[in-house]
Amino acid sequence: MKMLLNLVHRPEMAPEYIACQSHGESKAVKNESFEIFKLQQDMAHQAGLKTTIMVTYPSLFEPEVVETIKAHHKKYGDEIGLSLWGMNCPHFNKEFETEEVAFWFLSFEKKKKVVNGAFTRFHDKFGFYPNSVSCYYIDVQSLAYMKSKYPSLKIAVATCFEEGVNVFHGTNNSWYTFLEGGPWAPWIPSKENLYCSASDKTDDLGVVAVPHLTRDMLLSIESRNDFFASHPHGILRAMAYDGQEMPYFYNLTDQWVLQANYNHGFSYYMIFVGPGWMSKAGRWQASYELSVKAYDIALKYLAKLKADGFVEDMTMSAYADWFRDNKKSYKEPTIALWEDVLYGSGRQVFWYLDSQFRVLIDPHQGGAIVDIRPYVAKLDRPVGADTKYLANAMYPYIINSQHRSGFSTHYVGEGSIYSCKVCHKGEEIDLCTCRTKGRYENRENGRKLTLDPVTIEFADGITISLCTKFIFTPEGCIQIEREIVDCNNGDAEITLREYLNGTYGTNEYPEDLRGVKLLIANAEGQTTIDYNYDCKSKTCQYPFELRAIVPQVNTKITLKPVIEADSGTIKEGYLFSPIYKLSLSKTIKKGGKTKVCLKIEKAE
Amino acid sequence: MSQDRKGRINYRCPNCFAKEVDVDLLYDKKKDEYYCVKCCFVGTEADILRSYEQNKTKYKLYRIMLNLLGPANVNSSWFQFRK
Repeated sequence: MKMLLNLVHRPEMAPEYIACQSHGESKAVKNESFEIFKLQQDMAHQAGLKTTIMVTYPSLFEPEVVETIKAHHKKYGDEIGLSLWGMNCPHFNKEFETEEVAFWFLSFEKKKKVVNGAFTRFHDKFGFYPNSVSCYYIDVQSLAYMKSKYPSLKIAVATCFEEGVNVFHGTNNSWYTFLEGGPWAPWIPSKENLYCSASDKTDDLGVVAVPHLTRDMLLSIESRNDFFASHPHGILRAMAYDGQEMPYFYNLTDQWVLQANYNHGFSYYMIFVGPGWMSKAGRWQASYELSVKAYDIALKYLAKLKADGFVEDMTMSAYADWFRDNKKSYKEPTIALWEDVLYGSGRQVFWYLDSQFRVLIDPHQGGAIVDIRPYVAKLDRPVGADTKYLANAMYPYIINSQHRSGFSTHYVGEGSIYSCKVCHKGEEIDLCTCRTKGRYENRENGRKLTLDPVTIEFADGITISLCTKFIFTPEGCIQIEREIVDCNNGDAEITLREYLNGTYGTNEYPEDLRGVKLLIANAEGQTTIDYNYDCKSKTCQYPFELRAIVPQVNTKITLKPVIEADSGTIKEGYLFSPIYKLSLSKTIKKGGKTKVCLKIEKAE
Repeated sequence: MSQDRKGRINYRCPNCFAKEVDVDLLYDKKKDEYYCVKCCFVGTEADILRSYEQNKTKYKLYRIMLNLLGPANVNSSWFQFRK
């Protein structure tokens, strides 16, 4: 069990927070910022940790900074990479005629100019091109351009996991990182969309991508996850610390070590703290001394884990080599099984990701599927000033219970979610009301998540124990199997109704569902509904397939009974409930099972 | 009346912070009070610090090191490992 660590520093000549506080005294800002960078480097070296230094464009004009970085490269083996964040400075503004702070928002022509200008200046200063680049997000077109023009590029910090709506709200709607829907751990991007894992060698972009920071996998969906990540100052910002101590940092980091258990013995962890977080003026309620202390706590703890054999530190390009050498195949999934380590709720979430999809299962809601991103569609969604999508770098969902409601909030019923209704004599219990936990197994015929059985009591005294299993098959199916493992009356008839309430979008607001086509088929034929917010529904007996085609995200969703179902229904919604519904019902008794297959495919 | 500035310590509005929103408070030196431009919070430094502490109570484990990698925990039911 080993967690591989990248520790990244970024010398900035005008980090935004220091610059704001200094009222434009640029010389003082430069000096303070450079001193903080050197302090961070010293702390890392004292802890015996290698760093990757992400050089910003303004730093390339500062001989003292360049010479210091060269010296650290030579003495400590620190890697020198190129940052595409923190580029703004008079040189940048003049050369590229822009004040845009986010590289990924530039037009593609300007992106190419910036890449060429920055790579060339980097080469002039250091005598080689960088093996690594970083930004909060790098669009696939730019990354492909960099790789083609500068083949030495191996690895990129290319997105922030689930940094989107919640962070935007948390920053008083001012921080434009709309970056939800991507991987939480290193991956090889597809040539077609940064977030999608390459499906084979021909689809391999040629660069390993890693997310910026390592996030809390539960609080990433319910909170702003800049608070809850491997950034010790984010934890100060969240006020999730205790005086001069940071137990949550230890718990978060330990749990990341444990993720190695689900991923062939290895997990990944990144710390990337800009100098602005350790400014002399402090940050909000946290003093300079506390800010430095927090970083010291983080690095010393990682050094301790290294000494204990749990952590191995390396530079980013060394990690890229390791990742290429150790990746089993392009089909290998990434798994996270995560439990709350801050609120004390006992809540657990399970994440699955491969080249087909990213799926989130919530055992706290009886194993409801609360988020699906259809990577198989490999959506072409360029971002920037010259594109249709502008600042929206999210990968769309087809289910998202956080943004689009999930378990029933009011009389309109459930929002976007996949769950199951357990019915008996007119009474319906949604599995969302049954808290449980799961365990994960990696088996040859598929990866399996098994939930602890839940107990359901009906008004007439019938009580059942129901077990749910999710099997992710090599063919790209999610099989959902449920079994009544116990019942206090062997003759009691229980109906299980699997339902998928789908939609699509990237944020909280509904999109136009017209154009979605629903289909249900059985031995007698098939029936379709063209979505028009008309509340139409179709039901048939013994269905063998239910389907929703969502052309807006090039996705086909199929729900098939593996064990024969009694009936199935397709249903469109209305404007106050903009979802499409696929459901399958089967009545069973004690010892009986249901089994369905959920498949996500690219729509032709 | 002259303009107000941020205080000696750049406190965030505790009411907005309870909703996980960062908004810097402004300080009225004459009245010795802080106020928010996004919501209706107004209060003293003591009010702010009290609210901050109250907000922390939602983090029931923030003071507890769970020692997840310790021998007592690695094989416990707290985590289910891949066999």
